[in-house]
Amino acid sequence: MLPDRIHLLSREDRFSYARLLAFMTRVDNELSVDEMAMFEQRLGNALLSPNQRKELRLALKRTPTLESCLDGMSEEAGRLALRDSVLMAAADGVVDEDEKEILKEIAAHFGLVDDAVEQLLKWTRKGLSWMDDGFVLLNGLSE
Amino acid sequence: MFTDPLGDCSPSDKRIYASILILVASADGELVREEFCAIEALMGRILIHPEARIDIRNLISDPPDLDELLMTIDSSLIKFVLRDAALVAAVDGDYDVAELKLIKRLATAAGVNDNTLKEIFDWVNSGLAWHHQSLNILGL
Repeated sequence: MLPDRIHLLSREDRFSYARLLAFMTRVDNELSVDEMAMFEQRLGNALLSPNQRKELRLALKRTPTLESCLDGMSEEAGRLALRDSVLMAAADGVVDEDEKEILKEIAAHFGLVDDAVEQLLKWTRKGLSWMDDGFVLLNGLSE
Repeated sequence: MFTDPLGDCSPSDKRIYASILILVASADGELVREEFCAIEALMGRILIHPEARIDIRNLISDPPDLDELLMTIDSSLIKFVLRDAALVAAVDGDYDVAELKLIKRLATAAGVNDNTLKEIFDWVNSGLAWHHQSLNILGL
């Protein structure tokens, strides 16, 4: 919902980006409501067509391989997908080791520094804290 | 960005929420791509049914009346609408006068004074700064 550049990517890249997110939802073999909400949010941000979204929702059931997701994806799309994969992995409150391994694999594929995933996890924690500040602010309105 | 209690609202409340955001985003007479992305993202985040989203998108060309929406809105929902209206209005880079006018009407309906509204705008700005940091990490 914050200003981003995903919508500026090519149509093919936006689809690849979302397909990678679909893959990420299944790494820990469970799809929580929080992950689903994050996935749907990112699909919205990518301005995909209703048909593409339908196809991607099916990908949640028939998970693509990581290799097929990364194949042909531009560096920009891949790096944005990595960031949002970190957000999605953290959406249920826990980033497990399997998820971390995959995230590191994606980071390496797109030539990011070794600690990129750790940096993104730290950045994600800041974002959660920012959201919490928003809740505190809203809760104060009810007093 | 992350999930929040809005996902548990009734379909009718979700529709009101999204309708008001569309009004705010199109208040300056045009709905730019960034604003459209933000609305689509927010509709996705609260898991509005894909079919219901089609109806909501149609409101862009046939906007609802804010007063009517405010009469039917749940009192606990209005503060979330105010928060996300401030977010949506900010995504194209600045707050337009017409957007601000609508946001102030929402603030009045929510019983929020100018100081608290400023805090909400400050919170939005800190979110924008946080989000921008990710591009530095990614080298983009």
